[in-house]
Amino acid sequence: MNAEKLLEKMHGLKSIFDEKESELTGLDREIGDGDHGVNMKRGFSAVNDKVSAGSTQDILKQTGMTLMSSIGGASGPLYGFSFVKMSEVAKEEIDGENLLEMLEVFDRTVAEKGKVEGGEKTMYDVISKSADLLRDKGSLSLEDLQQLAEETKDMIATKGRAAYFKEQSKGTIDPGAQSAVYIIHALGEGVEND
Amino acid sequence: MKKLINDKERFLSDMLDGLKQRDPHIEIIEDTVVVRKEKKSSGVALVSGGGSGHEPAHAGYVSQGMLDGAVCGEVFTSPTPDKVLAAIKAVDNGDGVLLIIKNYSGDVMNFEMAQEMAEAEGHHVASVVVRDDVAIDNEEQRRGVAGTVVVHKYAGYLAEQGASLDDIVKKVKEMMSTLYSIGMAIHPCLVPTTGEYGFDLAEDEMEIGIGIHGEKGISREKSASVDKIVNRLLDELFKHTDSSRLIVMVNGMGATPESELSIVTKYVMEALDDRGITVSKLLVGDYMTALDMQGFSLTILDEDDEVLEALDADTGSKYFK
Repeated sequence: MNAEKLLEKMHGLKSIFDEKESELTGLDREIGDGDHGVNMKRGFSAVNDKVSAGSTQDILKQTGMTLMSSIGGASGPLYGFSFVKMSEVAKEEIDGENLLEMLEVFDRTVAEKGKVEGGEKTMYDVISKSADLLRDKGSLSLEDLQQLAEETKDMIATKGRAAYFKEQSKGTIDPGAQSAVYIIHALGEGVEND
Repeated sequence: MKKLINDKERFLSDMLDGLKQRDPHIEIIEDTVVVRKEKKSSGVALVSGGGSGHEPAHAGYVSQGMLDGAVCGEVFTSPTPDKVLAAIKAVDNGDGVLLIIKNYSGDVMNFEMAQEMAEAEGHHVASVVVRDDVAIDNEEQRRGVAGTVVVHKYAGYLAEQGASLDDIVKKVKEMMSTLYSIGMAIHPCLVPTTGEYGFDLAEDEMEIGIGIHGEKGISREKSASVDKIVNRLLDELFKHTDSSRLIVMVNGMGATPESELSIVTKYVMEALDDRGITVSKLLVGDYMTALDMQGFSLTILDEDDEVLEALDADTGSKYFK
C-alpha cells in the first residue's frame, strides 16, 4: 500500500462510518451512552476533509491528530494517538510485514493509554488479536475481524462505561470492538489490493 | 424528534453563542472553550469541563469564585486534548492551573494528555479526579457526578483566598474523601445527536444509579413513592458514612420540575432527621444535569467549617445558589 492508496482508504472510512453510524450507536445505547456512531462519523468526516496527500507517515499522523481533535470521548485519544504512533513505524510502501508491525504498535498504544488488557470487552479485544490473525491467515478479512468482535458479546465489561453494567453488559458486541473492525479492515484491504 | 435545536451538528456552537449573549462576563475562545472575560491576575486558575448536556455545568460556573475556564465537548462526549490545552494556556497567570476532572475514561484520558502537553510547555498543572458516585462498587471506577460542582466551589474559594496549587489539591482531596452521590431517573433523556432516548423505561419503572450521560442505571426497579425512593438512595449513601453532621445537595437531572425537587427535599430532610442527622447546609437545584432526564441525585459530604464558608462565599455564577 503506497501513500495514495492509504489516503484513499482513510478517506473511505468516512462513507463506512456514515453507513454504520446507527449500528454503532445502537450497540452503544445498550451498554454505554449511545453516541459511538456519531463520534466515529464526526472523526472520519474530519479526516476526509482535512487529511491531504503526503508520505504514508504524514497521512497516518494527520489522521491521528485529526481523530484526536475531533472525536473526543475515550475513542478519540485511543484511536488518534494510535495512528500517530503507527506513523512512526510505517514504511513508504506498507506491505504485510510492515502492517504487522503497525498493528503491534496499535496494540501497545491502546493497552498503555487505555490501561486495558484482553477480555475486558473493549476495542482492544479486536486490535490485540488482529496481528495474530494476519500472521495466521495472511490477510484480514471482514468475516474474521467480525468474529473477533462477536467474541466480545459474551464478555463482561470491566473497562469503560460498559463496566458499570457488569453482568448486564453481556449479550452485546462492544461498540469500540465493532468500530475497530472497520478501521483494521480498511488498513488490511489497502495492503491486499496492491 | 421534537427539540428546540436548529441542527444537531450545531448543538454545541449554537448553545455557546447563546450563552455568550446571556453572560457578559464570559468569552468563548477556540470555538468551545469558555473563559472569564477578565482574566484573574493572580491565584491558581481552575479548569474543568466535559461533555455538554450537563448544564449549567460546566460553563455556567465560569465566574469569579468558581472556574476560570470550562472546556465543552460535544453532547455527552469529553472534549479533546487540544481544547483542554488551549484552556490551560488561556487561564494560567503563572500561579498554576488545577484541572477538575470527572472520573469517566474519556475525560481522564483527554485531560491527562492535555496536562502532559501543558507541562511540556512549562505550565504548572495539577489535577484532581472526582469519584463520588457510589452506584459503582469499585472505588477506582466510580463516576464523577453532581459532587463535582461542590469541588468547583470549594477549590474556587481556596483559589480566591490565595492558596497554593499544592494546598488546594491537598484540601480538595481531603474533602472528596467524604463526598458521595447517587442518582435515579423516572424518565430517560432524549439525546439530540442520535434522536433517541438513552434507554427505554416502562411507565411503572425507575432506574436507580444512573450516570449523567443518559446511560442506564445499575438497577431497574418498580417505581415507588418519593419517601421510599429517598430512603432507597440514602441507604446506599449511608453504607459509606457514619457522620452525623452533613452537607446535602439535592440535584435535579434537567427536566425535574422545581415543585418535585421541593417534594424530594422535604422527604430527604425528614428521612435524615429520622436517621439523627443534622444538615449543616442544604443545596437544592439543577447543578449537574443529563439534558432533559427526569429524576434527581443526592450528594452528601461531611460538615467542615472551611467547606461551609466556601459554599456560602460570593460567586459571580448565578447558577450556584
